[in-house]
Amino acid sequence: MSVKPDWLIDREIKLPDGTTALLSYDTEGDMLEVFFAEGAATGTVELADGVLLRLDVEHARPLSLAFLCATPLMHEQVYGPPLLELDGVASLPDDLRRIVVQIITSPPVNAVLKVYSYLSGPQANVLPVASLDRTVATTT
Amino acid sequence: MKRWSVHDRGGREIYLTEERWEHIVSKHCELADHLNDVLDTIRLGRRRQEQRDLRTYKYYRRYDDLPAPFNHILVIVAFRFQKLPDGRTVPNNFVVSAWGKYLPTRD
Repeated sequence: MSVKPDWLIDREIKLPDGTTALLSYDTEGDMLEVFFAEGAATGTVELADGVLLRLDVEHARPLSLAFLCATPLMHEQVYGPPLLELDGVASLPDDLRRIVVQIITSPPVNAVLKVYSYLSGPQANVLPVASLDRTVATTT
Repeated sequence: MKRWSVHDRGGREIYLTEERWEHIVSKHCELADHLNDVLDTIRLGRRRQEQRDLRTYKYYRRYDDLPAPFNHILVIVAFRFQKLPDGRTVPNNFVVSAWGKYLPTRD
């Protein structure tokens, strides 16, 4: 594109692992997408409602992570940062789930998405939950 | 600016600007050559409301000619309003972005 649209805010950020990511915030559509690498995706996984991971499945490589309706995720709530239940992970086929879990718990994605295990009781299944990193949220 | 306007199954008018389409395919290049499929997804696809913002909907529709393993197109549509110079408030429903996606179920 020759001219950057006026509804788009692009910022490069340096991640703790030394890599650079592009933060792209759509001010009209309230969508934040963080680009880790360029290229055509071979998979898109909806990790949680409105949280989409584009990836190169064959090379287990993240391309981008998008947050629809991003504003509520950028602001602290009464008890702290809002958590997302990553309910899209459990329903993935085993092979793809392993790749996705590896990606979201490793650099560079884990600098943007903080993933936790939620355990409601000793017999309960572990549920993956996550929050948008505060640094990313305040940069946007 | 060039734009495409379509109506969804409920008769709601939704537009996609050329500027946004260029942005989509520059970032999600797997959708290049699928403009008509994106528009058909709005025309004919199912939709689901976003939980975090009730003014945003996801439209999705199955396609069998997408680059493997994608089998659906997902289109994000923002339902907003705009005020005209004459003071009237009118709907302003536009495509925000689009993705290729694999979904295991048929629709």
